[in-house]
Amino acid sequence: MAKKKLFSPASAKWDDPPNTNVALVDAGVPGSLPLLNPECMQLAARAIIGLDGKVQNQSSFDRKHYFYSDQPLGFQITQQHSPIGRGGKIHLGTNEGLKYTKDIRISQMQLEQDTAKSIHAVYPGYVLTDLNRAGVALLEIVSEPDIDTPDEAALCVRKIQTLLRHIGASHCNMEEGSMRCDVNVSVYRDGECRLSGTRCELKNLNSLKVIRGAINAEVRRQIEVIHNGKQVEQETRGFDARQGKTFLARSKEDAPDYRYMPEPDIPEVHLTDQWIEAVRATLPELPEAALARIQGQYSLSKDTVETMLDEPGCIGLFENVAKGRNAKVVAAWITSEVFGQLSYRAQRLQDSTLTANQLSALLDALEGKMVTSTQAKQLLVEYMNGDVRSVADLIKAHGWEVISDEGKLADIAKSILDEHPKEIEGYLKGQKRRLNFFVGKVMSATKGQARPQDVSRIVHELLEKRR
Amino acid sequence: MDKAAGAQRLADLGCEVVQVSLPHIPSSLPAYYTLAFAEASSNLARYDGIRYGTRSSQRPETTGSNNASYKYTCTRSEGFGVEVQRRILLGTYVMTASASEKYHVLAQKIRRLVQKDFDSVFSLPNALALHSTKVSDAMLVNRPAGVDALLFPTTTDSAPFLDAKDPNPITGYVNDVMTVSANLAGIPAISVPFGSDSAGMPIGLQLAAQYGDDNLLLAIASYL
Repeated sequence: MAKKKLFSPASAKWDDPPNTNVALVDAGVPGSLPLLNPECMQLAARAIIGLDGKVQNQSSFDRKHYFYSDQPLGFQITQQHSPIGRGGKIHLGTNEGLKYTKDIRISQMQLEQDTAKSIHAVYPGYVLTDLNRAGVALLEIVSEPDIDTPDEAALCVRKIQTLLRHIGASHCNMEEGSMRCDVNVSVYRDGECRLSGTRCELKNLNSLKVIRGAINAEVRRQIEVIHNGKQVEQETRGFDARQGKTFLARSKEDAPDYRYMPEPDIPEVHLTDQWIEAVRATLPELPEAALARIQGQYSLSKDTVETMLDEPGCIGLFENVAKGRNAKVVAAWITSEVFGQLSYRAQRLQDSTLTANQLSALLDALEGKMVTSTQAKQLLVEYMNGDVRSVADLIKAHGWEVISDEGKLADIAKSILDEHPKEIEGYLKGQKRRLNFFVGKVMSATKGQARPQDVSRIVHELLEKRR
Repeated sequence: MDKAAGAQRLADLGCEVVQVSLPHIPSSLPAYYTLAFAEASSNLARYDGIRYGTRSSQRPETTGSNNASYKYTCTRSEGFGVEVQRRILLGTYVMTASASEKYHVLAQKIRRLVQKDFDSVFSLPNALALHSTKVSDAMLVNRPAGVDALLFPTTTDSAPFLDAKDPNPITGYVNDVMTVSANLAGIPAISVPFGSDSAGMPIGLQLAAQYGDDNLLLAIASYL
């Protein structure tokens, strides 16, 4: 979510036209030097704190060398020796969809550069390189080998997504490439040591479904290899989703020697405890704590609160609007109406024009029966379209003022009844649907500005009087 | 005219001249070249002919995963001169997994020891050390028994003749032994012409001072 790249002032925006966000150092132009972007340190620190890890007071950068067309400098600047974050954990339980609870420990979290994007199969024989992505900051989260099932792996990734989105550290969107996943898989026989198997790395898994599928396919393959009396070789493999199989990408012999070396152009980074605490203070309440508190405080269901927690900024909106109002009504409006509109517009709540004041006023008008449910929904649409008028002004603009004067309604109803003696007769004979006929007529006469329930009641009274 | 004459001249100008010991200086030469070549192999890795510069016109015969490295090989072999290729290859080697500990890491350790040698003789503390986290209190205090500057030759021998042919490139490197220590330690140094030897070839004298003390060196040099 950083605006600029890790070591250059070029924009980190992911969907701009190719090769438009390229600083000199991103292209490896001779003489250009990297300069650490403090915003990336802050976002990394936020993520580390959110994942319960420890932000290191000292960290440094290293060069990882290999030649590839998507690596303009011939090396990646990463943190092999002293990463910015150590420790941490991802808690999985019933909230996440697991039937039991388990903590997946984090080994470390390190900042590093992303590579350029290589585009194949556009011009035969050519690989196109888009340097927009070259140098964008990545935070690599390395877990301990605690994961035992494909489900745990996928849920772990999803939990990280939820957490980091909530904190505002990353969009964690696998489709747009703001989150990627590599999985290491090994198997072991019952009774053997859990980590005794050789592990293979599965790279470039780009959705939760693919993660599950790839792990299952690889486990099947390794078991078959062992049953055939052979050894599992250490390899880097990819996943062919169509065939449901993993394939060899790189064998152990072809694995490159990265020749790590300290990055001489970036001094050691010192983060004081005060700086770290200041970052911690800017973090929103973490999801687990918020879930428990809001469920209890407002008596809402877990599903409702979780749905709201999943959208950054939503809890803030909810609590603001819920002050002095019916929390269940507010939550229902947010999770169905507001979210429905956001989904329709493919918009995030934080980018919407809807304000807490607008939603509050809208719900008050509904509660005070100044608008019907349908009208309130229309107001919501208008606010989300950018309208800034008050509810009162909008009601007037639409001509929705409700006629609540019962005397006036009774007069209108009486005159309509007088015009239709046959229907009165029919009703008195037992044709109940004549009531709806009169209600419809009165509603037309009032141009819909009366409440159907009121009209129905008044007409019913008047009809009964004529018995 | 030589080092002794230089020392005498400084004494005549009112300097107190003492002898100091920098035991790790002899190791600074191999350490320097190990580190310099490693950094060269790293900094020159960007010259692949893809985004700028010369690109080989050779077309690879085969397609497949070896395609990419073949293109790099051709471009870099054509584009770099012999000496540069030598340095890149040596620098790459010392950073490989099997050699790194023995050469590259060791060279970095020697570098730290060379820096400590200088810090132990200078009276001025090393300002760079103040930003490191592995610093001892002893490194931070002005040392009354310390010296302000160091005097030593610039080269071990006089300048080689242009037509002198030595097939061993290492000889050229060895001649750098007097100047690389300052580079490793990151301190200022200056070479000053000071007379000639018995054969009439010019001699250079070198002065070095603690990090940041550049003006002192320029002042002393102006007197020499």
